[in-house]
Amino acid sequence: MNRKKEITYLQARQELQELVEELEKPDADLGQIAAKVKRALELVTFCRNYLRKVQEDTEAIIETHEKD
Amino acid sequence: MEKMDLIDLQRILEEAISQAFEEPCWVRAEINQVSVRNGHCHLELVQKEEVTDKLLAKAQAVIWSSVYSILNPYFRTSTGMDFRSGLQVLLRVEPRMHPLYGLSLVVTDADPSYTIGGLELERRKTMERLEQEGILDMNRQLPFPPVPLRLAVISSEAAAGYQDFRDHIGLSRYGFSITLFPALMQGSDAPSSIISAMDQVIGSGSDFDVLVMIRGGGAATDLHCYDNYDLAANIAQFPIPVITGIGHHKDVHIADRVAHLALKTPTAVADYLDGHLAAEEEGLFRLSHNLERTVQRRIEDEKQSLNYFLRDIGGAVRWLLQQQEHLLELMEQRIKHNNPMNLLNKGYSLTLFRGKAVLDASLLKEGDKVQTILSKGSFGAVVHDIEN
Repeated sequence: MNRKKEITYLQARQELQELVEELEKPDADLGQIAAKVKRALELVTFCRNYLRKVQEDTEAIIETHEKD
Repeated sequence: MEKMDLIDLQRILEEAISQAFEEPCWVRAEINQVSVRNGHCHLELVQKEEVTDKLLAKAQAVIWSSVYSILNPYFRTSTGMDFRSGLQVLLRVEPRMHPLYGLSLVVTDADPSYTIGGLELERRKTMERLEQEGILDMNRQLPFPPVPLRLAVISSEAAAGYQDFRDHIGLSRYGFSITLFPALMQGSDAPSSIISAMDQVIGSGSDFDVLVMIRGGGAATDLHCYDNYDLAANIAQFPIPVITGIGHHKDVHIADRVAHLALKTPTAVADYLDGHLAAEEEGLFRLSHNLERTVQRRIEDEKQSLNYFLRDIGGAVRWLLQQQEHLLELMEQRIKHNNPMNLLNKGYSLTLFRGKAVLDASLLKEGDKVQTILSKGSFGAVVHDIEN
C-alpha cells in the first residue's frame, strides 16, 4: 500500500477505521497483515501529530488574542 | 367803614397769627415742590383728598439754612432720602405772616418716623398689587441660563460701581460681553429712566442672557425709586432674568424682591456670574470624566467577556481533541490486539497452506507442503501423521 502524499485528518481516520475492521475479520489475508498493521500504526501517528498541531495552533491563537 | 393801608392790614394779620400760634404746632402734609436757594429750603405743602387726589389745602413753608443744615442730614439718615415731592411729612411749624412776603410756615423740626411709616404702607400696597396681578414672582421663575455670557447692563456710565463691575468681569477667564444701556440710577426720575433703558434692551434686537441692573455707587441716598410700582412691574415681567446690584445697606427694595437675584454690590454681581460659569464648567468636567470612566469600564467588561469566550473556545477545542485522541487510542489497541506477531512472540507458530492459515488438519493430506511462520523467520515442511 503506497502512502498518499496529501491526506486530510478525516481521510486518515477513515482509512484507519477500514484497516482496523479488515484486521478484525477472521479470514484476513495473513500475508498482508504485517504491512496493514504497519500502515495503521503510521496513520495513528499521523492523526496524533495532526491533533497535537491543532492543539498548539489553537492555544497560540487564543494566547495572542487574550493579550489586551 | 374805616379805610386802611395794605401794610396796616398785613400788620394786623401778622399780630393775630403770632398771637394765635404762641407755640409751634405739628402738621401733616405732602410735599408738592422743593427748592433749595442760598442754603434755605423752600417747600410747597399740600393736602389732597384721599381717593380723588383733589387739592384741599396748600401752603408755603421754609426751612431756614441754620435748621436745614442739621435737619436734612437727620431726615436723610432716618428715611434714606432728602425732602422731595410726593413725600408725606410730619413737620413742626411756626406760622408766620410777613407784610411783604405773606403767610409762611417756618419749619423747626420734622418727624422721620411718620414718613417711614407712610413709605412702608405705600410699599406694602405696591407688593399687594404686584401679587394680586400675579406678576410678583414672574422674573424669579424664569430659568437661569447655564452660560450667562451676554450681559445687558443698566447703569450710569461714568459711575464707580459700573467701572467696578467692568473691572471684575474683565478679570474673569470667561468671555463675557457687556452692553451698557445708560440710565439715571437714583432719585425720583430713576424709574422712568430705567424703564426706558429696559425698553431699549428689548428693542436692541440683540440676544442677552441676563439683565444686570447696577447703581453707580456713592452714598445710598434716595433709593425710594426702587420701591416704585412701574419699575417693579417692568422688572417682574422682563423676559430674561434680572440681577440687581443696587448697593444699599438697609432693607430690601421691591425691585430686589421681584428681580431674579438681588446682590448687594456691582462687584458681587460680577463675582456671582463668574462663579456661576466656573460651577457650570466644573459640572461639565465631572460629566466628561464620568463618561470617560464609564466607557473605560465598559470596554474592560467587554474584554473580560471576550477572554471568557476565548477560554470557552479553548475548552471546546481541547474537548474535541481529547475525543479524537480517545478514538485513536481505541483503534490502536484494536490493531495491536489483532497483530498475530503478539502470539508468535509467545512461542506460538502459524502454518500456512497455499497462503492461508491452516486451522483444520483434516483439510490437509500427507505430502502437502506447508510453510510455518515463527516469531523470527519461517521454514517449509511436508505433512505426515495427520490426526483429526
